[in-house]
Amino acid sequence: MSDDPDTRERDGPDEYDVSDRGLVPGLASLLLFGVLAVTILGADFGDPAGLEAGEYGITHGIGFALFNVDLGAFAGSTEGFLAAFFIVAITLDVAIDGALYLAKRESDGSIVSAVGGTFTRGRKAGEGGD
Amino acid sequence: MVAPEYYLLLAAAVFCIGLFGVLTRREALYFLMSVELMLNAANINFVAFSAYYGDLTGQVFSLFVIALAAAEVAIGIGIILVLYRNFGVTDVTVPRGMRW
Amino acid sequence: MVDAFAYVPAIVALPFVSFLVALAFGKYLPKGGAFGGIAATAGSFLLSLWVLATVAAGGQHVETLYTWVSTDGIAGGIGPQEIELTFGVLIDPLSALMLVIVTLIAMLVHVFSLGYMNDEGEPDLPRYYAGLGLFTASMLGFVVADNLLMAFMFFELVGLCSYLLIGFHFREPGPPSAAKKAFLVTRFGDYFFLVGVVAVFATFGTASFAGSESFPVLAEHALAGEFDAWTPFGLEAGTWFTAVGLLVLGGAIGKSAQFPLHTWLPDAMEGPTPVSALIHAATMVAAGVYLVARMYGFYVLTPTTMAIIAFVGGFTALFAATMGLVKDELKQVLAYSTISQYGYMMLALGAGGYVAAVFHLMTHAFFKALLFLGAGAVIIAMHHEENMWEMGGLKEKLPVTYWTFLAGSLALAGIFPFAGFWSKDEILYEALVHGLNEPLLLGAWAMGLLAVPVTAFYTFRMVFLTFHGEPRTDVARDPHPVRWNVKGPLTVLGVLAVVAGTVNMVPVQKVLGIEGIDLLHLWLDGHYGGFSELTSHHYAELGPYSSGYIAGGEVPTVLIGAGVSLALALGGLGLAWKLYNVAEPAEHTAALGGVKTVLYNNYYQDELQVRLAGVTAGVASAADTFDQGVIDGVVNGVSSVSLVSGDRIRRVQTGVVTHYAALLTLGVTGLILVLGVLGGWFL
Repeated sequence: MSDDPDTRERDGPDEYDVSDRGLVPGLASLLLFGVLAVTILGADFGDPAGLEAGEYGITHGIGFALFNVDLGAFAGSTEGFLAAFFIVAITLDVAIDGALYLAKRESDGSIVSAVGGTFTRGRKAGEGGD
Repeated sequence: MVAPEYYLLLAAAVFCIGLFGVLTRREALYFLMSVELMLNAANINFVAFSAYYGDLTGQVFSLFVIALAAAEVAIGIGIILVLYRNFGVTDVTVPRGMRW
Repeated sequence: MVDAFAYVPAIVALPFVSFLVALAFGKYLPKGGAFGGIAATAGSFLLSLWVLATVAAGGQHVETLYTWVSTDGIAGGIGPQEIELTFGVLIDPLSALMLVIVTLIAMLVHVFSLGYMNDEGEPDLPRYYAGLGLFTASMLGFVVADNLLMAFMFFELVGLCSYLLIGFHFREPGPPSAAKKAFLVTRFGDYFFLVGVVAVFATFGTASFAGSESFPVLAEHALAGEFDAWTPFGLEAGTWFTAVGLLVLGGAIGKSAQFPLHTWLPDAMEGPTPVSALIHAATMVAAGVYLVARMYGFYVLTPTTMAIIAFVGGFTALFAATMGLVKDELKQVLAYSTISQYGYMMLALGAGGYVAAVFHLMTHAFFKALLFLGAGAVIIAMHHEENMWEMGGLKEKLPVTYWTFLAGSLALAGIFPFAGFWSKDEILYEALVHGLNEPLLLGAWAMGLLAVPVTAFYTFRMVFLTFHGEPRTDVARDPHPVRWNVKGPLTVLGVLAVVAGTVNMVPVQKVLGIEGIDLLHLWLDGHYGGFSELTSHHYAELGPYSSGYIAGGEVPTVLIGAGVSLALALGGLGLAWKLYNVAEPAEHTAALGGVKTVLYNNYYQDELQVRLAGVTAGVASAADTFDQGVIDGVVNGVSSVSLVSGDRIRRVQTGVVTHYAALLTLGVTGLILVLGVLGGWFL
């Protein structure tokens, strides 16, 4: 438990007894599966139109689509995703940075990394635990 | 060609297994794994429909979903670390500030 | 040249801003927000002068600023099929003149309040100045209103503000009661007004005052058979217009304190004296007369309404004047004089003297504000003693107050050449020349004439008792001095009370034949600027009256009329002089015998109204039960249901992530089920 009042548990006694949850909420997921199954089996999907592999094959097509180059046979069935690719790349970067930020903590005035001493110029390696 | 219903039922089953994990487990790491299952259920649907309707976009999208899942896990692990640091446990039912 | 008319909304908005500022920040500001109010009203005053100058240069302005309801017609298919409810401004000579009067008086009252409220250490000053600001803003909004509904709304705001200000000292027993009385009595008249507004909409489909589509013009066309106005029960257009006019007149009678709804006004003296000045001179009471003048084009079409207005006005003038004869308190005398003077204005309007009424409205605004502020100065000096029998001999101690008060009194009594003489004389002249062919009007004129000596008498009884003779108490021997902020407004108004009559010297013009000195006539007749359907000669053409003269012509009639009223006024003054301008005046009321008791009790009007109100107590109590039980029950029920359900539903929020996820799952499941059932997916 932290001493920081913001992160402490708000209040002591509570009407809800969490320890006694059991599997009852899990039944909700089974219910959802049932509803989904009924819906799926009752649905009409229309006519299939199989993928044409084309000159370079599907994997090539995906690569071309990611970088907006020469879609070839897939030109009619997909589009360029270069912008989305960059955005996801940046998002991943941010996520990694965010994870590092969250994992770091200050201990005795020095920054301790969760990932080990490599990134903290060798000081007090491994204290954060990874 | 396999009928799409089978893919969809598979996806729904995987999704609901993931959901079951979220609803019944208290351990935060199980949470992350369950969420992973749910995301991949969505991927199954993407790929299934991509093949069924002959549209490559679904397959490209599933790649993005995988990438975003990685990002989510990175943040999720960070959050779990903070959780552990603040509460001493990784039980998601312990932090209860998220209410009125 | 920037267009002055673009700033008309600012004239209304400035005092409103000062209201907001005083309300929100008043307690942090020096003097409780007084300077904000003074600055705002001074700004409005300057803008009004600019507007006045623009109108004088030949301008007029009507503009719809905001349409807040636009409909295709009244449900049920009766009446006109398209109705728009709007806010707009109408600037013509009448409203421009009134703007200047209201803003001037409001500004002076604000300045005077520095002396009356701040220097006397009154509490709650922000509330006071907020009230003054809102009061001024409401009245200005009423003045510039371009349609009857907007006028009604601001009319109600004026009533609300009078309630707030009369009840300013709400910790004492008197003021709250007086405030409630003022509110309820005027509201009684306003009910009729509201019905009248609806009737105007139903009849004409518009309530605008100016333009070829305005309701007075449409009424004119309807009477000429050129416009098909809706009337209920297949009434004749003329009959129905009379009824509508009388309904709207109900509001005017309530606000302008005409018989029988005058009883609130004397009680309203419980408010602070500067507020009384504002109410009596420029805002609340003036609103009724202004309303009739505003829609005068409608009233002149129906002779019955005109006769009723004239008769009520004449009767009120005399009736209230007699009640003022025996009052002991300075402000009470002034209160009855206000009722009486507004009676004169109503008499003028009913007698076809549109210009005379506006003229008297203007001069009365100046001298009555002066008298009230003078009374306020006396009250400051006398340490809040209002009984005139406790005063006496203040002439030497308060010279500025005395001389200005005297100027105001001479104007009120109608002594040549003070402002009141010109306006009152013109009213009586109009009533006489039109009344020679109308016996009812002649009766109203006779009552107005009889009120002249009574007015002079009670006015100078007040002056002599207050300022002349020997001081009758210690306080009167050593009065509290007043400062510049009291003397300044008094001086301005004192000068105006002396000279304001010169803007309209019709008798001089008629007798000596000098053209062009009846400035107010030219002004209201659209010689400078204005709408052709809102001019006085247009009203005269529509009006039901013709002029008759006595002693063989116009000039002798003018001279005889003026001479008689002046002689009567001087007679009343002389009697007051003889009875009360002595070292040790006595009451002299015993000579009145039984009449005295009746006068002291105001003809038992209050008792009568209370008894009349008692008749409706059963209905009121039933309504109260309905209100408490059904209306409040529903409201309270709704609130407790939401409270209880809120408390229950709140428990859903446990703060546990798993529960939220479970709720999400159930929600999605439910959503799919609903969509599936509705969309037939499961069939």
